Amino acid sequence: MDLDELKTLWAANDAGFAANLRLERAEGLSAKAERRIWFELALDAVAILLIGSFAADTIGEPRFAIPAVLLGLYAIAFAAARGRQLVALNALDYGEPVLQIAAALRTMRAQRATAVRWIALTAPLLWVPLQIVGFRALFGIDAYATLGIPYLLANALFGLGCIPAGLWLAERYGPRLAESSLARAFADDLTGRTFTDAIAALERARAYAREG
Amino acid sequence: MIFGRRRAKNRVMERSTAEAAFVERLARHRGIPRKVASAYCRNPADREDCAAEIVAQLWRSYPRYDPARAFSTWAWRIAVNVAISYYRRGRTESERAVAVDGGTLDRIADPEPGTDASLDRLHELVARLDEFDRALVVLYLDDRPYAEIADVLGITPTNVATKLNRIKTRMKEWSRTWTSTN
Repeated sequence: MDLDELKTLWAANDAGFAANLRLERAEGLSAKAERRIWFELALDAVAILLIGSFAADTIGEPRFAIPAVLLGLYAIAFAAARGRQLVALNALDYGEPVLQIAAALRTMRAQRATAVRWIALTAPLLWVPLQIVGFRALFGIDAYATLGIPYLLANALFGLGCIPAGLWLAERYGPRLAESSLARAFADDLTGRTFTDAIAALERARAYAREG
Repeated sequence: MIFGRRRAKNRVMERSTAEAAFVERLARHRGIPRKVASAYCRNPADREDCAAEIVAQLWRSYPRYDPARAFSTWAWRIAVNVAISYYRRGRTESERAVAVDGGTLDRIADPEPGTDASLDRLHELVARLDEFDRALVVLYLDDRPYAEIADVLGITPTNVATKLNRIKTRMKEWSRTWTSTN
């Protein structure tokens, strides 16, 4: 069977595939993606505003203000990483050549994987500031006095211990999870597998363009 | 108030003009989303979803379309870009791999031209290719000139010719292997 012989067959192939390409459905898909982007950005903005407001209210009490500033910086970094990704995705012109888009998407995937990895690895360290701010903001409780410094220190140490433990679990059990699952994707981001795969895929796209 | 209403009315008219132009252009090239989707998706439901995503992206990108350039080249680029993203997203390696079981081998060993087996075999061959070669073959099967294929993919026409020759040789070998196995 020769590729040239297949051309007629290919032309006939179209007939059996009766997809009803309706513009209304196409618009629905676009609008849904757009709404999700705005919803996520709105959530980030609300979190930053709440934390910022708490930090401003407790500016005279560094023991509350410092944890709030830490949380705020984390939330800003998170929103910036997501915002950068979303802006890049929206700016992407799918009308550009295939290999150019493939390279851009793979670079973005590698950047996203790096951001998720750092966010996930540093998140356990924020458990203590979150308790301090959360107790104060929601219940008016002073976590230093109520829970005690030893408890908070133990939590900080636990958070620190979670980092290597999380990495070990992701490394050991991540590959056993279903490849399409969210947990697997997270484990891959955490261990750096997503980043490595994205870089390898980027190199394949570049090699394809170079090879004659 | 009156100016605001007039502006809104103008926007609606502009949109309906753009929509009509888009629909008319797409109608002339309506085979592109279907053909690309069928090259990247084996499952009919996936094919329909992929084709719908292609149309969605075409419509979304339409404001950026430069009418000085060929609509077909622009549409092919978008279709292939979307299909590759669709193909890579949430697909496991096992799902992507070509399932060539005994039954399939029986059906594709010696196909009569124009039969379902020939079509199956064509899909088997296309599915064995990587995502970029697959785009190249789809464009070639659609009789696009080398210059347009090069423009869609972002490589040189010489590169297109070289890659196509390699693909043809590989496909002939696969075809021979299947025939000799049966």
